Amino acid sequence: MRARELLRVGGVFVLVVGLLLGGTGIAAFATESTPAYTPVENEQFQPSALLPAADDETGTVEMDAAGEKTVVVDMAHGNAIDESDLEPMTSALVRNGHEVRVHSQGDLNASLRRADAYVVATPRQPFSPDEVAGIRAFVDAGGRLLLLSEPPKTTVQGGLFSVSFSTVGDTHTGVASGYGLGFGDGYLYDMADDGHFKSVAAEPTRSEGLAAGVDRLVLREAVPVAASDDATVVASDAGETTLSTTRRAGDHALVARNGGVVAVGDTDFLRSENAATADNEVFIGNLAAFLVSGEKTPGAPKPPGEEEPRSPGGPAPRPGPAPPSGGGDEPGPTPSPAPTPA
Amino acid sequence: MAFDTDSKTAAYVVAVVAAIVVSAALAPVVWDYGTRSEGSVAVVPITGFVSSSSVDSVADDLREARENESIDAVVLKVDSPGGSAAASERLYLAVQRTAQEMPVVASVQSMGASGAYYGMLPAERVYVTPASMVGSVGVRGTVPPPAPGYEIRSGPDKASGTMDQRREQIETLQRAFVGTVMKHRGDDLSISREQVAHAKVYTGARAVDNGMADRIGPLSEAVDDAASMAGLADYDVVEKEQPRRGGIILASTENETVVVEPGIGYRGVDTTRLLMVHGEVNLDGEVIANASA
Repeated sequence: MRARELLRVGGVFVLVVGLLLGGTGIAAFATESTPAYTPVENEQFQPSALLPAADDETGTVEMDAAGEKTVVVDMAHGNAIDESDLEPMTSALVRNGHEVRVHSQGDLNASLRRADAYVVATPRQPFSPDEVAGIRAFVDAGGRLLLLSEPPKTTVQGGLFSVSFSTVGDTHTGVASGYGLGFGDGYLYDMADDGHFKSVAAEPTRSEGLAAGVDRLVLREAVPVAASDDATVVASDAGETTLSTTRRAGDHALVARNGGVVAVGDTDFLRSENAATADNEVFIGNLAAFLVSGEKTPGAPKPPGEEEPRSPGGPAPRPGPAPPSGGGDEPGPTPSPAPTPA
Repeated sequence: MAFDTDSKTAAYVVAVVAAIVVSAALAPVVWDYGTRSEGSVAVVPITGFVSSSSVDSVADDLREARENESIDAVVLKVDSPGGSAAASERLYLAVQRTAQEMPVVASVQSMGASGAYYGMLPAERVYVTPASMVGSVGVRGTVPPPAPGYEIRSGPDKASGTMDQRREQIETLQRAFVGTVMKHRGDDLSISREQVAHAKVYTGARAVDNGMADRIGPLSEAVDDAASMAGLADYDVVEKEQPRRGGIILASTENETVVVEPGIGYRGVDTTRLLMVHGEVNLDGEVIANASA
């Protein structure tokens, strides 16, 4: 009797617990809310809207002008480059039998006497009047001159308590201005182009000479080239780029030539990583061919006191007429001997 | 007879006293119920460098705001120059999700630039003051130096890749950033997509003029506006705590203690860093907070 009562009490207990827990469960299930969040379609995040189209990266630097010319690369004016930065062009020259020398110290004019072409990239120390005069005599004697530039760089100097900023630009002016060429400041940019705003495209203004076979150049960080009426613009930005210092868009020249002198507003395009972009490799091959296309009079520039007495630091002689340009854009007169001062 | 009367009286007294006691106990509840606000506006601070840890904290605050039924609107109290690109995108997505469920208004204190601006783009309105700075819609990347001679890698791009790849990465993130600005503010902007991509930083007055921000006003006005958007005539303000900074107290000066966070990459490993931050970046250690100011 007592056991039956205990069983009933136990049964009631289980029943009540079951009802309560079951009801709680049902109530919890019934009140479970569905998430109110619905995913958003962010169209601007889809790969089709994000991934840029890359330029063609095929091709190799080729040049047709085989021979035994000597090309001197300037490294004596604080040039902000390494030898490896010019590798695609120097390799093409070497493959075709030419010699590439580096002038890093000593008498520049002595180096130029044994050279057929002279390459000056991003010099950060000025040329002396003697050197400028020597380069002019070199070019007048049929030597080729290639001037490459880069935008000014800001450097930071200082210690724990003071920091100073200074901007270092190229020092071509003394050399380039004698041929109606010059380089602007700042850098060119193109916000509409794919890749990066400092990657600007240049289009040839002609289809022969330096621009033969070139449809589109891609320069990674370029300055505009100033060209006088005596010079010829070989490639320009077609009005698509803006100059960083003025923030004005305009038609900027990027490659210009005056006889045996070529000015290019970029150096990075020569680097191995950029050499095959777009038609850069064709242009580099054309530049290499240009460097060895002159017929330079041996021995120019003459040493001081030998036919060309010149007072140190004195006024430099004016450049003569443009030398011949075998395979170039502008046919010139026959080679002339080194100029004599008036 | 007299006994019945007394007992009745006593019963009444007991009943009244019991009623008073019960009423006293329940009165505050009734008072609270009677004076209860219609809802709350949560103020979520976004301060300092936008990093993974700071976004974790902000995302937690925003999730709590979404799940708490008493919170009807959110105001982002922004004072940040931006931060890492990935963290800024996460901040944007967290704010966007919240903005789907309740009004979100941003109030820029002194700076809401680059990645911080990215994060506040889903807000219904952006409040600024004339001196506050917004904009800087851009991306920057830093890369580790070439592999030292003692390191052997499994592939050529294991550490940093080529310059072309870096340019492409920057361009990809830039398109996401600029595309997001145009999605949320394209109709308000008087400047072109290209001008947005210049990554200029604007003062508050200029930002309101060109559509990068909406109104000049203090935080209180932003809170009022958010409450109004949520349909609250009477509201409470719930201020969330600023995210805690895990930095090292590096130096103490007379009136301030500077907290420096170790480099943005991983300790001991120089990594590629993709940043959405305004101003120059000190990669060796960044001042992220002023502990005693």
